[in-house]
Amino acid sequence: MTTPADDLALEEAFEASLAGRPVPCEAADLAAFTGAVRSTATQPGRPNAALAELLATGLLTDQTSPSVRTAGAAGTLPSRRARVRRRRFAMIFPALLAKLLSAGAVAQAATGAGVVLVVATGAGATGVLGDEVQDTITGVVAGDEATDEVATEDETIVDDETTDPGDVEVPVTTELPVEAELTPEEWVEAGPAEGQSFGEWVSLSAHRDDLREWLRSEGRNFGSMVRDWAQKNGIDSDAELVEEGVDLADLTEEPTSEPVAGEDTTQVDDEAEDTEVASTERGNGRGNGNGNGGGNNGRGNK
Amino acid sequence: MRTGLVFDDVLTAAQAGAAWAFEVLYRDLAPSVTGYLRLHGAVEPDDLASETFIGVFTGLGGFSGDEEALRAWVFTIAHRRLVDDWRRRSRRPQVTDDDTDLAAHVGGDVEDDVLLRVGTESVHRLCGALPDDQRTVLLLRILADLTVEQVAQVMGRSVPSVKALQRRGLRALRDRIENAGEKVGAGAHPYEPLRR
Repeated sequence: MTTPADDLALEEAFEASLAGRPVPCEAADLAAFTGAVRSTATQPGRPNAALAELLATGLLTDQTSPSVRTAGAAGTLPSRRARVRRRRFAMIFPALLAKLLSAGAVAQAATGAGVVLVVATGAGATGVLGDEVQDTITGVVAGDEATDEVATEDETIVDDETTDPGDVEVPVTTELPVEAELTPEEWVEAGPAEGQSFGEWVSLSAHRDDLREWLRSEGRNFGSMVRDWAQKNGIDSDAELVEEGVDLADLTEEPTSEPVAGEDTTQVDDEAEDTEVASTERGNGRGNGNGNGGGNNGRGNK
Repeated sequence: MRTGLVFDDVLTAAQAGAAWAFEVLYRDLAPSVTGYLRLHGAVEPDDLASETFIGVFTGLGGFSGDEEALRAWVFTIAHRRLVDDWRRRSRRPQVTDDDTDLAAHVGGDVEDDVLLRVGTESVHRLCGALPDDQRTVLLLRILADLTVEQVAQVMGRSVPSVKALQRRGLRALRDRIENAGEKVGAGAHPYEPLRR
């Protein structure tokens, strides 16, 4: 015969077993039952196709995970971008070196210091230098680039996948932070910085895609911009420009654009952002090549 | 959360449709949801659980509340799917002994495997012997960790009604266990298959 007191004791024992508290001996079976029920529910079962797809792709196309577990997947895009930037750097660095060798002594000194700073910054960012050198570079860079978010982003990206010591030069040296702060219009208006030769300024300008785009939107090309600027500042002839280390024909033809775009497009054709960049570069090459084909041939035969 | 992640972060990401958050919620809740459906005798517990979570993930945008509330909401959906399934099949739930998941996971010590198998079968039989409502109350309390009030909400019943169902269910359960103990003899495993 079950009494209300028995029921109450049973309920209390049930609550105790649910909460993981000790239960009276009389209710040991009930506690065991609770445990046995829970032990049957430890596996999630097999999701059907629709749920499996939902679990794999979610309901978004762009997902950013804060968890460490998924950080690898989330890091795929930056890693690709870093690879593309490394390739660009590999092609641009010889061009910069050639410019440096052809520039005057003062320009060489100025540009050389810049290159050393940039390369050292890259090495410092990857942490391959000795502690003393690392500290020094960190201090110098911190002083010069304290507000440079672009450089910080690049360092992060490089750190994600730097396992090969051969990647030391990874940071994108072509993205000079000081120049990047100016809009194309301001850049053209300002001209060479203090201590910077006209040739250097033109060389750096040539690597600003946004400047070229802006010029296109203004109905101008790079050569005309340089010529206009030179004329405004008393450099009237092509010969004087050459003396300044500027070759207008070289500037307008963009000789390396076509192969760079081709390679980048092949390698990262599934990456929207970089594909966009690549196609822009290809467009530049074609447009300028058509307009300056005759002049280039003349140069090439010299 | 059992995963160690902050629930609010997971919920926010899941509401935005992030796959990783879906996976976290699924791993946390799916075992108990599937177990609930299986112990209710659902013929296709995995499919019903999948339907439940598809409903959860697609409707998560309109949810607001804490982890307990989410758990109650998920089990509300699971219970409705189960009731719909019963209606579709137009018959009482049948306890299934075809526990393929369990069979897939046993292995190693033979004696432990046998005990686990026997224990699982006994749980299925004990649950199957209870009336639907009593079984629902007990399983929601045990597997879903819901309070009596939350169970009442899931079932669409009053709190006193749920308390009464729980009391009757526990009493029936105790009686069956005691009877089984008498029949199988002293010292026997309490969840050996019941002789009817």
